Amino acid sequence: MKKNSPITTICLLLFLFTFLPASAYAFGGGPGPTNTPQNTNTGAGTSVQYRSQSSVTTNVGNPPSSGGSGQPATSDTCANSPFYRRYLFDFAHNTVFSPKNFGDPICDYTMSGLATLIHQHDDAHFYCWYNVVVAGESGYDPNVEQLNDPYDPAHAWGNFQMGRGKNGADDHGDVDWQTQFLNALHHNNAQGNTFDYWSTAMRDPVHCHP
Amino acid sequence: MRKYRYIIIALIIVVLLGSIFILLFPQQTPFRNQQAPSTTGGPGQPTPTIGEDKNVEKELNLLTNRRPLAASDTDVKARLEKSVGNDGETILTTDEVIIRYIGPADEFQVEIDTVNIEKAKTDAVSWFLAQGMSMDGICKLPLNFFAGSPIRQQGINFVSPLPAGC
Repeated sequence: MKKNSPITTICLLLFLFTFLPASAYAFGGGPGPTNTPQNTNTGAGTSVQYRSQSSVTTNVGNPPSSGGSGQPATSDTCANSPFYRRYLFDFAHNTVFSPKNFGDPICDYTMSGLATLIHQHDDAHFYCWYNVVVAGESGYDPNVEQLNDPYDPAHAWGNFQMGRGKNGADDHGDVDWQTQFLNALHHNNAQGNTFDYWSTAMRDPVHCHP
Repeated sequence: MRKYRYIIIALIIVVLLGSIFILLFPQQTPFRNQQAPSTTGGPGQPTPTIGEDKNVEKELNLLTNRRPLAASDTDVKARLEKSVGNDGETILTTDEVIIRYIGPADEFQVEIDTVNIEKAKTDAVSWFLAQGMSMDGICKLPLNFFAGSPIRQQGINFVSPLPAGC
């Protein structure tokens, strides 16, 4: 036994340094991505949900100083709103912050209200905003969160699917619906009204990229 | 002693097999559940490149250059505008569509809430025809469609905005 002990020790060390790390990988203990997907039951089937990678600590109740109603987020599900069912789904999937009703905190959102707001502030680009960008980005849902945004780890939020500050103070979709539009408007103004921020605007370059 | 030799040989074989395994499958195992991010909402789907869509351009041309409706269609439009519900914009809600009149935009918009998109569009057009609106009037409004939350949740973020034939 004594004669073979060094060989046995070397073999054991080799075994530990080579095979065990592979075992660790195989059982998920290795250095994998930190943002591992979680299975969540959506009620309409099972989907994969990613944890937010956001390192931004934006207070949803304090939208940037771009105007709007400035209403803080609430927990109101807007039971009398035609968007009630949408909001319930949105809130169930918002894993980032609470309270979750950032887009319609006092339940006064309507598509007509949004159209009026756009007319008031940027009538020249009304149809691009209303019929191309909002229709394409969110389907007119001010509380929607895009979990899998390839451009912003803080996800995309609200009617205009903007972020949580990655591209400046106006890059905030995590605010009430009036402020959502004003942020989008100011951001677009700063970029020469090119609508380059929104890929959906490419569907109609004639009207959205004049 | 012979017994220990067999153990040592067995260990060497295990080490060699482990090394071969690592060389053949380098770092694939830990990422087996990782899926590419997607803007379509459907996990694992490739990120789409959104390009120009002539139907969207056509829709906006119809909206920005409104053509006058026939007298009978004007009457139907006025009647439908008055039929909105308490929220001031919803006219009809079914399992597959929500039809709204958006006053400030002067638009009849149909939210598609089923993956059977073409059937939903056809049914919405049929409903307008049943109200007395002509197909010419439906195109001139123009009646326009968008993807609602239920189908967005299933990865369908876009439906062609115009009725077939417009």
